[in-house]
Amino acid sequence: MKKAMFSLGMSIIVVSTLTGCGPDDDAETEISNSDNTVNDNETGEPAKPESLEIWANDDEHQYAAVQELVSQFEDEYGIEVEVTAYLMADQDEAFALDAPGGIGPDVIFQPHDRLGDLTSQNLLAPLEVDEDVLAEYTEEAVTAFTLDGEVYGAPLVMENTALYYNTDLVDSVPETMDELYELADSLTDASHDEYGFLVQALNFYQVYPWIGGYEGYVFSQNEEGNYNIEDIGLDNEGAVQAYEEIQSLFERGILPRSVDEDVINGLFTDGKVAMAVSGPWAMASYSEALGDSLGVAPLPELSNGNTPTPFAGVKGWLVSNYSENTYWASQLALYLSTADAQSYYYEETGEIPARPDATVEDEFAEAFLEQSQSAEPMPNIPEMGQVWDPMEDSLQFNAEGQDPTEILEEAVEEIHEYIEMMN
Amino acid sequence: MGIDPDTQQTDSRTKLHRFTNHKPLQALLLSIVPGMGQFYNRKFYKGSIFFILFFAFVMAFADFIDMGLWGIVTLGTQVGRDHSLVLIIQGLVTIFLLIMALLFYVINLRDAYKDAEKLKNGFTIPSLKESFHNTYEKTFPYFLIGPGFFLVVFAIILPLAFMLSLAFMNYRLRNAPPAALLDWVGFDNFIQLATVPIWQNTFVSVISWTVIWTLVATTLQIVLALFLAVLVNDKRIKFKKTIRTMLILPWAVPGFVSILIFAAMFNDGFGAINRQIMEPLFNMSIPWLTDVFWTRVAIISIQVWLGFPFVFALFTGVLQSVSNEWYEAADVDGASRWQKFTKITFPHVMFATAPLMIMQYTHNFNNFNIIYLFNEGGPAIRGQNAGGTDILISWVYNLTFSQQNYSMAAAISMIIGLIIGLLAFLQFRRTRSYKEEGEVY
Repeated sequence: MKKAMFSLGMSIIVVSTLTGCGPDDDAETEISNSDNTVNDNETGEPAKPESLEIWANDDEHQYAAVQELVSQFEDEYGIEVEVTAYLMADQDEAFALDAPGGIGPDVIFQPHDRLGDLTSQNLLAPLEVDEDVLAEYTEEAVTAFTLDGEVYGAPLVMENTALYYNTDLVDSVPETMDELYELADSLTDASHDEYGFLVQALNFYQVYPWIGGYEGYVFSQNEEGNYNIEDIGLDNEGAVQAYEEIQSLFERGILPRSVDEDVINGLFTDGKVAMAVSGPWAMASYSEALGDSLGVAPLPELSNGNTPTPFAGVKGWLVSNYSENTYWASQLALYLSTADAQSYYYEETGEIPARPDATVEDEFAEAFLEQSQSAEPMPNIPEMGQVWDPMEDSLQFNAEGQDPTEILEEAVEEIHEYIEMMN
Repeated sequence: MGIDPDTQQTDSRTKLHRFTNHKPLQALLLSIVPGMGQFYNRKFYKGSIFFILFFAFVMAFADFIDMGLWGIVTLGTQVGRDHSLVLIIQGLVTIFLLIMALLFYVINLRDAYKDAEKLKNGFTIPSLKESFHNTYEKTFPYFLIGPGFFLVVFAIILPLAFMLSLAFMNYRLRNAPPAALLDWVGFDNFIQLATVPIWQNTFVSVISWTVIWTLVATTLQIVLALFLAVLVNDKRIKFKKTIRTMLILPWAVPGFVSILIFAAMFNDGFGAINRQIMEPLFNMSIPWLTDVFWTRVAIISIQVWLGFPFVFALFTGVLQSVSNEWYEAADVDGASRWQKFTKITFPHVMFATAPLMIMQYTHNFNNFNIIYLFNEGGPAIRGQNAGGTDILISWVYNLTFSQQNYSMAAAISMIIGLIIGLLAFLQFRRTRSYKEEGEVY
């Protein structure tokens, strides 16, 4: 009997809480997205906010440079900007949590290949910018930040690999890859750890210049720049040719089988390597070690006459979809990547600008810029994340001397499977 | 509570007093609105407190609970407004709140009924102040652990419950909140793990290596530690302190650093092991990082090196407490050295340390650091999406961070948790040190 009373009481509670459940569906709250309320009648610009918040990379020089540029923006526009130093690699995760919670920044700093992840979480607002402003950047930089026809970021910095060389060992870089291999062969003495040419041949990012140069590709692109994830060109003839060429370098003893980043950096800074492939990130330690003997050049042309195509990575400013002032946040992002701003940023941090009209008076940076003409932006769709592991495995099998056609077919099959599992 | 009120009413021995006609059942019924039953029992202070607490709870949490229950059932209905992850957490907190409220409600009902029964039977009920005093005296320890308990609920149980709920959802990159809403998918993730080839193939080979790794690496480190501890503890050994310090050194260097240095030392072409040891001494070099077998050998040896000092320190401490008289008695009985070890030293040491040894095994089962830092689970194996030395946890890590399939990660983590929990539970139950004193024999 008491049990009956008890369950009666419980059911009263349950019923009373479940009826009229959930939020009031009539009061639709919409994420504010560029529908800024008051428009300034004279200029057609939305009303200025009091303040904006921006995350800069947590690097001493980069943070200081951004702060300086931001203070110029404050003076010019009368909008206060709060700059927070936040490690670039951690920004995306923190941003994904903070932004929907309403405490995120208006602008973040990210490499372009994070775009797919961030937009599929609906976290980014398209940049509010005119076409002619975009034309000032390099085309690669803008396409890198374009997804589904929308431009999401103001490009600031470009990265791609090029060829470093030691002028004590070689005077200049040969014209073609085949000549380079010949030269490397004659300079290599593995028993004394002396090498003519080193590249991280177990790393897909580093091997892509060959694959792309021989007309291999990750995902095919249509005219609007959209990727077709069904069409993967990593097991076509070109990719196989690239793998065969890399494999022959192992067989000729030019590349040791256990070549990795640490080994290359260590040997190159010891002055034991004549030529090595790496990116601008290695510049500081290489030039410190070699001083005037360091040279940088674009990669020589391949046997089919094409220039190798390194992956281009572009870093830039992205605007939060949860910002209440996407217009002014876009203005801030653009202000931080004007030609002057990029010249200044380059001078302070050594990072290569993403627009051709920025001043770069440095032969090394010019070599990277020249190489960037043939660089291909890494695909910015989330499916790119599924490519790395299978390709890295296939490169290891390649180093072990297995059949390139077979291992590449397997890798592509695996990528397809992974992509399927994402959905 | 167990006495039927109907028999109470007809009890002929009940003396006549002011509350003879007091009806416990009525008190219980009235207390459906907390406090009312207490009013009926003429306990006005207590009644008001109960009612105010109830009222305040309803006022303060009605909306929150309403949202929470709605949220955890539907996980949101409108993209952009509803964030499924926030709704899950809110829903879980709501469930905790409701459990607490239910507890309070039961206390309220029980209190009204008991007091009414006491009144009816002619007892006086202690005043609020007295009963508060009594409660305080009796439940003082509970007051002390209260804040801790509160922390446990929110810092341990809530995140765990969150992880468990993720395992039953479809949270992956393609429908990650806030751009999309999550759904409950029941056991879908577990079914996929068992049936989709790419998961299934790898799962079997990874779990078998995980078991081998756990057993071999941990057992070896314990055996080595025991051997060295017994050796160093021998009376004839001089410079005990120095030797002990030396043996404990590997423990002093942070594992992260040691593992990365080992990874460089084991490099096939440039590492010190091949260059300075294998080639000059044996005229051969071993593919430490590219051959599955040798990578496994390398990683087990590193783990033994990293893991034995802790066990060694533990054993050394325990060995100090083994009474010398036992050995003397054994000597009188003519026991051999080996007999003394197996009958006295070994049982004694194991008796004292068994729970910690089990923790060594569970630790290695989930020893992410060494696997990931040494070779990232490599080398690659054709036709398998885990590397040759990937254990469950490092495989989960790879899959989640390249696949961003959070639900599957939660599901696999749940399986790992269940395996470890089960093993640990069974083993702890079997060790003597877990039993109460006096149950030893």
